[in-house]
Amino acid sequence: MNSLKKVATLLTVTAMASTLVACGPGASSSNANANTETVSKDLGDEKIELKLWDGAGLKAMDDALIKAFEAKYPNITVKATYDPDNVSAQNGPRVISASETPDVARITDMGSAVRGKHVVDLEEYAKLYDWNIPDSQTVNYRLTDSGELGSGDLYAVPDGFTMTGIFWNKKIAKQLGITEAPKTVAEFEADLQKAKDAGVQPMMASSKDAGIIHLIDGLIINENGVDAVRAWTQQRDGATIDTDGTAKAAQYIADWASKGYFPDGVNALDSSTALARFTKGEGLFFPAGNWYTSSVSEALGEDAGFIAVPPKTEGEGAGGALDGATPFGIPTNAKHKNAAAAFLNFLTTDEARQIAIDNGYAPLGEGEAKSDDPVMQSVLDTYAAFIKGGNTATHISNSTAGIQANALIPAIQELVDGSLKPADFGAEIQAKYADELGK
Amino acid sequence: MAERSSAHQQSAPAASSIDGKLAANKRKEQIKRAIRGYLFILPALLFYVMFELWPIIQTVWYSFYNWNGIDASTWVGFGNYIRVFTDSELFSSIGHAFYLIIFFSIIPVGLGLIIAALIKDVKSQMGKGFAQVCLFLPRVIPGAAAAVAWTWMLADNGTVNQMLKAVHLGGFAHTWLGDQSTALNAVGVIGCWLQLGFCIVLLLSGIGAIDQSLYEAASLDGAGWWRQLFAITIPGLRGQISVCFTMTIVAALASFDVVFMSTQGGPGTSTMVPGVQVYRLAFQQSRVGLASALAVVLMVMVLLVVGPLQRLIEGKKEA
Repeated sequence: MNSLKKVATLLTVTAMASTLVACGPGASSSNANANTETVSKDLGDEKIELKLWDGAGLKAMDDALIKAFEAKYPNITVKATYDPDNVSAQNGPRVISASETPDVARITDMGSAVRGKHVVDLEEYAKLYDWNIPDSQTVNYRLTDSGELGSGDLYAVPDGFTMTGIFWNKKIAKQLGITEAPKTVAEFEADLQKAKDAGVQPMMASSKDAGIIHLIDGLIINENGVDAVRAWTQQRDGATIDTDGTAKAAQYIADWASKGYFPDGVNALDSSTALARFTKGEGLFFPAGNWYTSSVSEALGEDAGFIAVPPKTEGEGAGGALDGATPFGIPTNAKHKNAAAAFLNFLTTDEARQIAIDNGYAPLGEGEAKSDDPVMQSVLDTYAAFIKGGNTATHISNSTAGIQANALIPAIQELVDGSLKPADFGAEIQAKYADELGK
Repeated sequence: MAERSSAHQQSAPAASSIDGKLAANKRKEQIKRAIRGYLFILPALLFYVMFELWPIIQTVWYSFYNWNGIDASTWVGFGNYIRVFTDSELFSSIGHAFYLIIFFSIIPVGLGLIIAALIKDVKSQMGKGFAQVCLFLPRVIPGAAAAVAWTWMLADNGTVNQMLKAVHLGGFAHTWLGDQSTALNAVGVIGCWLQLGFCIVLLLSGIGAIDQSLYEAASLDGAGWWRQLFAITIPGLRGQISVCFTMTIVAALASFDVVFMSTQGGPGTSTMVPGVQVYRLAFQQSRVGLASALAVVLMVMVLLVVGPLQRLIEGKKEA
C-alpha cells in the first residue's frame, strides 16, 4: 500500500507541477534549423551529400533511382538510410521533425506532417520545373491551407504506385474450365464456388494482418462510389464509412467466409504465409497488392495474372486502392532543399518511370507503360484501367495512422469468424476513425 | 534545564573539549565514509535516475496531456485516466492481463513445485543435470522468438494439430491462435512454457538448501511423497515461491512480446493486453498521452498485486 501511496503522490505532484509550469511536452520550436535556400534549379558544382530516408522494402527501387540520379548530377552523392517497413510508419513523423533530418524523406502521414509544418510546400518547385502530373496521382499529397487533404498545394511526389487487386492462378482456372478473368463480382463468386466444388482452395488470403483489407478496399469503393470513399480517406468533415454500401461490402466478406472460400484458420495466417502458399500453387485467387508482383511472377510466371476487384456490373470502372509507393517530400529542416527538389524532379522523367515499372510499381505520370514480364504487364493493364476509370482512392488502411491495426484488422477478423454482423462493420470502423481524429 | 547543562559544561571544560574533538573527528570520519559510499553507488544511481526514474516521471507528466509525440500538446487533466477506465476496449485488455496470470504464474509455479520435487529425487547426477538444462532451456529463448515458433506449431497444419491427428483426436484440431475462443488460452500456453523453466530452476536451488535430514525423518515417520511436499518442501521454499510469483505475475501483467508476435492482440480484440495497447496507442496512433495514462495504470496495477503478495509471504515468515 505504501508504494501505491507513493505513486498517488507522484501523480498528484506531477499534475500540480505541470499545471503550475503550464508547459506541455513537445515544444513547437522544432523548425529552428530550417534554412532558407532560394528556390533554384542551379545546384552549382560543389560536392553535395543528399540524405534520403525510406522503408526497407523499397531499397531495390531506390538504389536504381539513386544510381540514375547520381549519373545526371555528378556533384551530388545520395546517402540512403532505411527503416524496416513495419516500423517506418511509426518512425516517419519523428524522422522528418528531428533537427537533423534527411533531405528527401518518405512522408508517412501527410496530414500531421503538413499541419506541423515539417515539410516544404513544393508549389514553387512545381512551377520552376513545370511538373505535369495528373491530379489523380497527386490528390493524396495536396493539402489546403486549413490542413484538409485532397486539394491545395503539393507537398510530396510519389516515385510509383501501389494498388490493390487480385492475383489469380490461370493454370488452376483452366483446370476448372474458367477461361477468362471474372468481369463482375457475380462471376467472381461463381468462379469461387466452382473451385470449392472441385475441392480446390478458392482463395488464398490472410487476416492476421492487412490481407483481406486489400479485398474489401475495392468492394467498398464499388459499393459506395469513389467520391464518398475519397472524402472519407481524406478525413473530410462529415465523411462517413458507416453506409449501406459498406454493409454490402462487408456482407460479401462474411458470405465468402461462411461458404469456406477463405483458407482454414485465416485469422491466424499472415500475408507472407499466404503469399508462399499461393506461389506454391494453392488457391485460385489471392487478393493482395502489386507489391507482390515480382514474387508471384518468379514463382508462377505466365500462369499468373492480376485483376482489379470486379465491379457490380460489367464495364463499370473497377474500384481499388491506389497510393504512392513512396511519397517523397522535403523536410523543413533539410539542408539541401534545391538538390532534394532536383531528385523529386528526376522522379517525373521517363527514366525514373521505367525504373518504377522494372521494380513492379505502376509509374508516375501518363504515357505508355510496358513490361516484358507477363504478370507485370497485367498489373500495368489494371493500372491503365484504374487511371481511365478514376475509381481509385488511397488505401482505406491509410486513412488514419492507427485505423489498420486498431479498427480494420480486428473488425475483419470478427467479420470472418461471424462475431461481427456485416451491418455493424461500418459503424465499428467509423467509431474508431472519429475517435482517433477527435471528430 | 539550561542552567544545569551550562553548569555541567563549566565543571569539566577540558574533558568535554577532548570529547568534542573526538566526536567531531568521528563525525567527520562518518561523513567521509558516507560520501565514499555514495560515490560508489553514484554511477549506478545516475543510470537508474536517467533510465528508470526520469522516464517514469516523464510518462506521468505526458499522461495529463493530449499529445501526438512531436507537436505542441494540450492539457487534459485526468481525462486520459477517465478514458482508460471507461473505454471498454482498454479496460478489457487489463482483464486479459489478469487472466494470463493463471498461465504465466499459477500453473508454472504449481507445476514447477511438483517437477522440482521430482527432480530432487532423481539419484543420477547426470539425469538431474540433463532434466534441469532441458527445462531451463525455454527461459534462454527470447519471448519473441518463442512466440514465432509456437505460432507455427499452433497453426492450422502445425505440429500440435498433427500430433492430435496422429493419436486420432483430429476432431479436436483447431487453429488455436485464429479463433477468438481459444486464442487467449493458446497465448497463455506459450507464456506457461516460457515461465515454467525459470520457476523450476529457482525452486530446485531452494530445495538444495533444505536440510536433507528433515526428509529422512519424515519418511521414517511414514510420511509419503505428497505429505513431504506439503510439510517440508513448500514451507521451506517460501522465499523462492514468493520470487517466482512476483516475477511471473509481473510478466503476465506487463506481457508484450509473446502477444505481439503471436496474435497482435487479435482475432478481434480477444488477446489484447495493456502492453500491446500502450505500444499501439503511442507509436501507431500517436496518442502519447493516452498511452502514458494506460502505462501508469498498468504500473500501479502491478504494484497493487505484487506489493500485498510480498507482504503476505514475508509476513508469514515472521510468524
